Amino acid sequence: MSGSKFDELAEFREGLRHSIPFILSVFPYGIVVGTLGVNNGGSPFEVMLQSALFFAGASQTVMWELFGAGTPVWVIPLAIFAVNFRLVLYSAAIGRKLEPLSKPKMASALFLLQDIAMAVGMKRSERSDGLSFGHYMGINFVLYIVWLVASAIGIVFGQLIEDPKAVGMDMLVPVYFLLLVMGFSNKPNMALIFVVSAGVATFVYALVGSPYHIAAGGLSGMLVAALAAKAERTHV
Amino acid sequence: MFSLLDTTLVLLIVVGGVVTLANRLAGHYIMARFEPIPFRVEAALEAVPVAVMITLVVPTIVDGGWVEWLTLFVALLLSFRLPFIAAVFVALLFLLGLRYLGY
Repeated sequence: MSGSKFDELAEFREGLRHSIPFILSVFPYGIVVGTLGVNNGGSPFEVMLQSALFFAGASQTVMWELFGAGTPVWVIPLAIFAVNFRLVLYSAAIGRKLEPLSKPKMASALFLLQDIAMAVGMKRSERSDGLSFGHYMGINFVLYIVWLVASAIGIVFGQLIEDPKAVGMDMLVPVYFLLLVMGFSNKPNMALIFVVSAGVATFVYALVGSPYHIAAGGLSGMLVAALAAKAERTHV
Repeated sequence: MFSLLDTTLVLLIVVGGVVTLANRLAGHYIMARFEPIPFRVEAALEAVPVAVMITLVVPTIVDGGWVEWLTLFVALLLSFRLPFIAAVFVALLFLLGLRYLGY
């Protein structure tokens, strides 16, 4: 294997440190998902298995809500696919920032891919030396472990968070995501992309509902970015 | 209360995990077939953080009331002044304060 241009161990350590601000969002969310699982008919083993395999809170929530409501089982994977469709877009965006990587390394990086991994990784890739495998794995390894620990706590101490709204749980993720988005305000055509994406998502959310607003808004924003792009920007 | 293992449920979880992993792998390996990437596609991929993540805030804005709107606005203002995590923390304290006061 060709050597990396990075000191991967130092990058990994830096990634570990950079994970700290995100534990505040991953940890309570994991507790809520763990509790939701046992309340909807999952055994502790099954709920932990789900957290270990999915590592994707929104789709885990949807799965338990549908399963608990007695939805035909064959429908549920389709719902999981729809909720996780944004991961396809994240993967397309972040994969090339991690290249060149061996297949096992790329697969393990993509296995841990979620919103924070994508946002922090894309921001990091703006640096002159780009995004390293070590930094990416440092952050997301911590978040994965935190996710498992929080799920277990949610299972054992179910109802630990009695009223998610009273402790601001419902606003934790929106505030995080809004501020992560603002971190990209230096990107070309950011205001245009922001307005088109949010506008289409609002329209589709009101008319059709979740989760279709994500794909509709996201793809619209990407389309307008493609249309507005100038060729000379890409020769980097 | 619940059985230790429900075959259907375990199968559902494994299938769901496979679907999720497929989502995570698909984007990159589809794009990798189209190297080199045209500049407009590149611009679309660079737009992903903003274009996709902002849609995740939309339900809060549509379903929420002025307390939620004000919290997001305060978070936005704070983000110009404070480090990321401090802005999140203060915005959430602001929200809890409003809710504690009964709003």
